Amino acid sequence: MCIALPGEVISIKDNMAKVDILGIKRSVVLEHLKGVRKGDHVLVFRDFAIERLTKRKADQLAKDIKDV
Amino acid sequence: MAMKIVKGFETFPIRNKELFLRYAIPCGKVLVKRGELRQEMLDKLDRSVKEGREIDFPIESVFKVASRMCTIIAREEGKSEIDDDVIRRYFLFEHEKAIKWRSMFYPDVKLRDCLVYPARVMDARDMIRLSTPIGQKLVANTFENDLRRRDWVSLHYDHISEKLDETTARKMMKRRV
Repeated sequence: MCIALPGEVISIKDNMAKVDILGIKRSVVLEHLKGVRKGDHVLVFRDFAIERLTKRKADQLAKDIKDV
Repeated sequence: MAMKIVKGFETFPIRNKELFLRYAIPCGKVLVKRGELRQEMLDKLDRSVKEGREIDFPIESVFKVASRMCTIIAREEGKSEIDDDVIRRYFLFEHEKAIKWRSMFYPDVKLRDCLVYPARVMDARDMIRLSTPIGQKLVANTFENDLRRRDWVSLHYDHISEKLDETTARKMMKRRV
């Protein structure tokens, strides 16, 4: 659970999203998480989006993650 | 067992909650630190597993990342529930890949403890002494009773999760992080 990272969706095409994770853009599979839109914050595990996050939660996670 | 759909993600049911928790509980202290789980609840889950009691707690909603990734693995394997093989694939093997992936973003943050290691029991008389790929460890926490010298086990943080067969343990020994 400490392995997943928060990111912001910057574009979506079909079932794939381009997600900005700490300034690095990665292609992420959206197949398992329905209803994701551009601008959403998501939790990413490897190449899969697994949870929608509020911006507050995403920011908190990004801050906490270095303390793990 | 019913699937649970929470905010757009359909999580499969976990068939063997006890096995899942044997691997998830050692990570629980991270959730406690983040305020996502109370220490008393973590202790209660720990006792339930050790005493073989029924687990009626919605563990999918607490150990969200693990249960969702197990769901993705189960789906890849054409299953509709999280069975023992899926749990082991996730905790014993997929963690390693995820840590490699994560190091692209945080190369300076080492997550060696997050990995589940294969270990061999060297002494189980009082504290349990283990030989692991990251050196010898002395462990008091175990979900597995009746351990004997030369048994193979899985070690997650400072917990022995379960006994392993030698083939699985040797396969895990080949991992490199």
